[in-house]
Amino acid sequence: MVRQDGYQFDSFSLEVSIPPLILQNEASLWSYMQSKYGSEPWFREKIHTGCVSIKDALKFSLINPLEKLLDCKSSLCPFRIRLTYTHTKASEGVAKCSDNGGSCKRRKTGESDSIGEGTLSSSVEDESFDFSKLFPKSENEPCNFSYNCSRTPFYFGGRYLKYSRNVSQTRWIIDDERMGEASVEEIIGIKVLQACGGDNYKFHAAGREDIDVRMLGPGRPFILEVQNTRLVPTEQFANDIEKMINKEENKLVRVNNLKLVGSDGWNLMREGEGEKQKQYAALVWTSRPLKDEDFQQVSSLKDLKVAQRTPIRVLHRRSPLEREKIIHWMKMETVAGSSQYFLLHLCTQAGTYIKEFVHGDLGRTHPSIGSILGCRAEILQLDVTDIKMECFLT
Amino acid sequence: MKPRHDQYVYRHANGLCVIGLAPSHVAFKDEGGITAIDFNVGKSDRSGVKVTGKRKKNAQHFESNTALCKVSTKNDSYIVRCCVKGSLLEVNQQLIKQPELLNASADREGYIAIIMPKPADWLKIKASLVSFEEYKKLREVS
Repeated sequence: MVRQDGYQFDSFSLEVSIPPLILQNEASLWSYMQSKYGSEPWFREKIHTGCVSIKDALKFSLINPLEKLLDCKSSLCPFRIRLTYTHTKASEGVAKCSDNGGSCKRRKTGESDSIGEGTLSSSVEDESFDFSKLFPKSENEPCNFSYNCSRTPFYFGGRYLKYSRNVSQTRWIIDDERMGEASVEEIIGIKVLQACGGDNYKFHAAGREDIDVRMLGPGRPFILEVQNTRLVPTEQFANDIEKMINKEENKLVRVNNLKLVGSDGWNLMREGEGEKQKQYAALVWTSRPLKDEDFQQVSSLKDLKVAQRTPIRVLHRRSPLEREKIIHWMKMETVAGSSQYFLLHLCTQAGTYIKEFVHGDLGRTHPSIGSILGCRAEILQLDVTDIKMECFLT
Repeated sequence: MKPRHDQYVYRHANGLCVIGLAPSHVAFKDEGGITAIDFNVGKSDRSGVKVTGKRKKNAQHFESNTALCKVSTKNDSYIVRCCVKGSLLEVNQQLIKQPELLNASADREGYIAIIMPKPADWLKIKASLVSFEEYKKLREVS
């Protein structure tokens, strides 16, 4: 059965789930023995040395045959085999508990089966409830059995570059129509998913850029979570996938430094996300020709504080707030043959809206390039040229 | 709407509408142009409301003919209306201290307010608004 699904594994971890009715019977048996033999020394001794519960006994008896069948050892590992035993007869103990009212603690859970287990285990601790009153009924029906196996998710970390101005970061669909020709998450996610035979993926990136903004330089850090892989990914595997993605003909997206990461990957990416600086290059048009003094004035501004009210283009889905951001430095570069177009290089605090800093967003971002130069300014193109974070650089 | 009280409604792709005075509004013809603006009209001071959160809590809901503010010139004052039925997200506070923005760039820094209509309400009002091309012809503005 495990082979049928095509799982690759070298060890497995067994999980067993048994019906509440059995737990109830076990508990009532214990309760009965407690009341009858509680004072006997041999009983006391037994309690101290510990007794094996029905669930554990079942597990022990199953593990060895399974190991022989699958030809490997059982241990704590990502590959899980879950055996679920259920019974049509609901636990009687639950009904009796509810009669008792106050002495039973009810835990709120989503599934009804868990409620059965929950009340049961809390009642077992509640000594006042005498389980011996519930005699185990002899059962003629066997349990229903189901099984499934799955793997805990694997995580890939790396940096992505986006060369296209028509590719969104994540899948973007409005009224059943896709915006842009593709998305970074699908380009990377689908390749990885197919290669290691997973069920689905989740794409997490350190920040984002608009669909019409290129992501250049070292790239943006991301983590791709892949669930229930059939194959076990290795470092070599990660290298191979990286090459495969980068060999694509249309060269929309590039991946660098793709590798397997553990839980520390998350910390690396989230750490200081808000403080990290980002660098950009913008093609800007001004309503009047610029002179050297203008260039110098812009370069002289260091750590400029900018107050940005939530841009109108995102105001429909974000809170109306005023956020103070810092523009660390700016440099203007002339564009051949024009005194009204130029390249603006700037380094800003994470979270700064660059487009609004250039055109001023009807005066809602202040100061702006337009207000600094005393004229109208518009942004024509934007590239992210660096993301100053330390993770996934090798 | 009174005749010649021309206003513009700039609608963004996300549905938000920026409301302001069109260049042919009669207030601009007064000598000296607009000298002051007052958001305290109708039952509340529109500049005082604090809209918070993604769900735009506390936003006031207005009809298209609800008064938004009052602009004054040397001799006269004019009521500016919402034009679009929806929630008032913000008014341009800068205008209170710098009403000259209305004279200098009514279509940009001199915007008056941002309103968020429900999609159905927008469709209803759209028909009664005039496109930029039609406007230019009607007012013979180039």
